[in-house]
Parts: sequence; C-alpha cells; structure tokens
Amino acid sequence: MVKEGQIEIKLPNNVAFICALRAFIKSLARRIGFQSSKIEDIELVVDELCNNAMEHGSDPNSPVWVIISIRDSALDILVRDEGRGESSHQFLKSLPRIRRKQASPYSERGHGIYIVEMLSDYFCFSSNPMGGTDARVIFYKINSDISDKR
Amino acid sequence: MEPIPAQGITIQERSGVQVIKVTQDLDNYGAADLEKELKDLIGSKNYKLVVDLSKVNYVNSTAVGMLVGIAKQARRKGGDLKVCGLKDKIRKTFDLLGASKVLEIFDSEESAVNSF
Repeated sequence: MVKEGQIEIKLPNNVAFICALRAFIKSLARRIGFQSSKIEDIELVVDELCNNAMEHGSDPNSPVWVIISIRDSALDILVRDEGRGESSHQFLKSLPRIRRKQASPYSERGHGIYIVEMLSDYFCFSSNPMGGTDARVIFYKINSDISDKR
Repeated sequence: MEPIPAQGITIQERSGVQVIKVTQDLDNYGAADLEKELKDLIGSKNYKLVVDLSKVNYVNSTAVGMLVGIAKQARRKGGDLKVCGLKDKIRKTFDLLGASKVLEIFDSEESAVNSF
C-alpha cells in the first residue's frame, strides 16, 4: 500500500518538460491503484493545467510548481504559477467567459479548462500570494458522481 | 532541397493526397512540430491531407485544436484534413472536445485517402 505523502516538482517554464511530468504522474497513479482510464484523465488534466500555467501564468523565467498530495483514496494535485502580465485576478475574472467559449468544437484554442472541468472529480482555481494562480484538481480512486465542482 | 520533416513525422503522397504519419506524442511540443509540417504543406498548395495517428498514444487539446485549425485552412482552399487510426484513448479526447463532429475520422489510411 502506498503511504500518504507529498511531492513537489519545479518545472522550468518550457512545455518540452511536461512530457516527463506526464510520465511521472502516470506511473504514480498506476502505483496508487487508479484504473487505466482514470490515469489517462489525470495525465491529460495535468498536461492542460501546466500548459495553461506556462502560457498564461508564470513569465518565461519563472517556474511552474506541481505539488502532488497522495492520499489514501485520492490524488490531490496543485499546479501553481507565479503570475506575470496577465494577473491571476484577470484570469479568474475571465474564467466564466473561457468556459463558455470552449463549448464550440470549431474553436481552435482554449479548451484546456473545459477538459479540466470535465475530467477531474474536483477542481478549483484561486489566486496565490505570489500573484499567480493555483489550479487544484482532485481525482478519487473510486468512481464517484461528485458534482461539487467550482 | 526538400526540408526534412521533424522526427516522429513522415510524409508520403498517395493518389494526390499527402499522408502525414505521426509517431510522437502530440502534447504542445509535438503539436508544434506537426503544425509546422502541416502549414508547410498548405503553403506548398497541398490541401488534401490525411493525418495518420495510429501510432500516437497521446493528444491534448492544443493538438486537436491545431488539427481543426489546419482543416479549416484546407477547406477554404477546396481541400480538407482528415484523420485516421485513432486509438480509443485518443478518440475519447476528440469526442470530449467535439472534434469528432468537425473532423472526418477514419479507421484506416486507405479509407481516408479514398474519401477524397
């Protein structure tokens, strides 16, 4: 049985490195006992959040942090950026618009938040003390009908 | 001299259709490589495109959105971009994004090429 714990990963602001994080999170989720389809969801959500943080969050010289909390029956993942030109406040204000915009399959961009919303069991965006955004998602090992998504 | 496609991407012509076979993950990094190749083809007036994803194990929303964008460009010129060989997990992402309604998806390269 995997004991509870926390892993902190500091990613340089470069999408080339996200593949390594994907491989790590898949391996971890498999070890914890998630089902294959759920592992695929976790991989995609983490990728989307990191891309979002790198593109809209941290400036090119600031890292993106991924903090993974391993719980008995869940993976609790926080993706943290340090903020830049587009402030966290502006991003959070634009979130409802982004979510509406993502409804169109003809839209070429901006689908990441929608994927996070659809595939995670819980998600929450908030400002952090560095002026950036914290994106938190939780995946439960047991399939649930949790609809408490914010 | 013909430019060499990015690693993980090969391009062949079949019956006037450009078949782009992808063997790398299509995260943002891989999607950028593929986008460059597709834009080069469009720029060379190749508007009939089949993207073979049968060897691809991962796509994200950026990659799918990019394919939709290229398809729109090709359609404006009387062509199209079609995809083939989606594994179940890849198809799931396309379905989630609604791209299955926007892009024609085929089981095989042959059926995709013949559809033009």
